[in-house]
Amino acid sequence: MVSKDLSTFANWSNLSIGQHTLKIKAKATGYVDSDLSIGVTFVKYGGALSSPSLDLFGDMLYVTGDNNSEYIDLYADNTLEETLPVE
Amino acid sequence: MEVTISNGTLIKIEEELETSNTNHILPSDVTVQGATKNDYSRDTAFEGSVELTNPTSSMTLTVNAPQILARKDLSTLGLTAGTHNIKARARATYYTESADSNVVQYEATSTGYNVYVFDWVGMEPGNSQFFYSTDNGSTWQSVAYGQTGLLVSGASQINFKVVPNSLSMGYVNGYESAEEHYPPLADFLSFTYTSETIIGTNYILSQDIYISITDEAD
Repeated sequence: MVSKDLSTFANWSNLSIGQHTLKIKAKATGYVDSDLSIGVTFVKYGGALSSPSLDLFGDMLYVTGDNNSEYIDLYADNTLEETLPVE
Repeated sequence: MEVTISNGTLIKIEEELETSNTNHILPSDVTVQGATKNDYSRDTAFEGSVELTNPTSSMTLTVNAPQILARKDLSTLGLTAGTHNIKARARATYYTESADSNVVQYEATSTGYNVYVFDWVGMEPGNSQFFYSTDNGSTWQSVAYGQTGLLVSGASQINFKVVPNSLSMGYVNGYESAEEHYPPLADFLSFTYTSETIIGTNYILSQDIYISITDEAD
């Protein structure tokens, strides 16, 4: 049995955030390599998004911040008012 | 020196010194055109155009344009009149939600009136389709058939449209009170056994209004 922490792979830092499929093959001297195994999926997580920044001009609120963001939850007095998709 | 920023772009002005501190861009040197913010301070973002009224040859205006993730007209949230603390959090798949943003204070004012549907008469599901507009017919939203309660808040005007079932007749009326259909404020539209779309009369609101909708099959 072989075990491996995927995050210790040399190119782990170059792997994009998201879901990936891992397959392996067995090798041995004097033997032909095995076929690829079935795939197993794993997720590389991106950690915490940085906090957005708000600017208000009149009634218009502008949100800037982490470009990895997909949604902005907008709160008024700690109550969720609306979820805005990132433009 | 004038830098014009395309509409909707958020910018920051930063100072860049080349020789001495005397070349700072001072607040009095900057005029903001087309922006709602009247003053200037370092690292303050705004949109509009920027003009330096007292530039020097050694003065450099650096414009950073951070990507706007989202924007929202807070007046459309329907907040009660008064001061509200606004904050945000960012989310994304495979990422941990961000901590809270900075908090900005928003002063909500009462900019319009509420429109309520309080009565449906003779309704038969599947009959006529009703719509309302708060922009004098530029856009229309569906009225949920048979549903009563608040239809829209913060409106300055209201109108109705109907796509009738040819087998029904009816009308849309507005009242000052939901009690006993009185006193009347507006007769928006009426229809009689037709399938032609009928657009009512636009009404400028000066108070909350209560709507009664009649849609009676023959």
